[in-house]
Amino acid sequence: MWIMITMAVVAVIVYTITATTARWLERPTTAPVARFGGWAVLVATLAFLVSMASHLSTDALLGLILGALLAPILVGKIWARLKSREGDK
Amino acid sequence: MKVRSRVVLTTIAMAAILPLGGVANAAPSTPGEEIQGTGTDGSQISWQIPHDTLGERGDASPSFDTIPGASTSFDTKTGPNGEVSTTITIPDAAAPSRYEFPLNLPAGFTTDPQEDGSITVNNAAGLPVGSFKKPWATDANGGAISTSLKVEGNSLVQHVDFTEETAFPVTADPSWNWGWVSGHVYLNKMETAKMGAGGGVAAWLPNPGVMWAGRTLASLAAFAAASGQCVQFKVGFGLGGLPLLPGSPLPFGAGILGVDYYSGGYCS
Repeated sequence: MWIMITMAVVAVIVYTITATTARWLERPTTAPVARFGGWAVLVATLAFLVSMASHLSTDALLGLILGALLAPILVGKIWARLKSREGDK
Repeated sequence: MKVRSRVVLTTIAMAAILPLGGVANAAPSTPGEEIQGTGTDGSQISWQIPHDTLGERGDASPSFDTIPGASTSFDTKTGPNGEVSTTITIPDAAAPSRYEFPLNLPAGFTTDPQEDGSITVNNAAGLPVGSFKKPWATDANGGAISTSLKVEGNSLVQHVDFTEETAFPVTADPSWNWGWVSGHVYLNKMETAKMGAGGGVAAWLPNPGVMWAGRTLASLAAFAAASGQCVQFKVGFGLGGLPLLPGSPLPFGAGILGVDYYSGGYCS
């Protein structure tokens, strides 16, 4: 059970880092070379993590998948909340 | 556009739960006849229907013709998805309990017995190309009878543990199943896990089509992992991209026609 929760949290953290990096790479000010290289590194890192995930135990894998599916919803809501708070100030 | 993508992907998800097809066409069923199976790499694997000298009961070698009009019979069927299944009908307790199917494998091929009773056949490169599924045997009332499938020398041997008290006729079934060539793609446990993790990551992409496809794959893999099974896909071609992409501008397309779960064999 704990390994499931831990891996779900790991998936949410990885998603947050990935989404933040993707946003940073897609800024208009990012040079095309940096954007292309950045995406290549990001995709390679994720592919490596997916490859590692295949060696996990069943519980760990289920936690990871669950976290991966929930992360975009959860993190999206947190970002929206933070944005609205910033707007209130 | 978003709604259209979701409709298309819901269609994919619904098609994904269609069951896979069964066994249909008749094939060699006479003792001594050779049955052909094809491996996932296109290799030809064959085995013979047992004849009288290849059946045993204890130390004796009883004939398949035990009583007049009631001999042990074999019925081989091949299915649209590449399954080859030979049903043995055992008429009475005097019939053999051991059935030896002489096996013909291409050079370098090996057999790999699995814990669940199935036997995986590996090619010369050590890659699985198909599997003799876990055998089954039932009595006349449909009750399960203990049975096992083993490789002894160059033969596939099925033992059926019936007794004098067993309700006859008994039916038993060694069957061969194969993958990609027949339109199936079998994933083992590691590949299923990769599909789950990969699907989860794909679900992070902002494109709605990729997101839903990723979610579908991750969910299928999660169920397979949770139930100790692996995922198998049935793939095929259809006109107009049917049945997965109705209205597709392509004249024809390949798609996943069904998804199912399996265990044993390559699922290790």
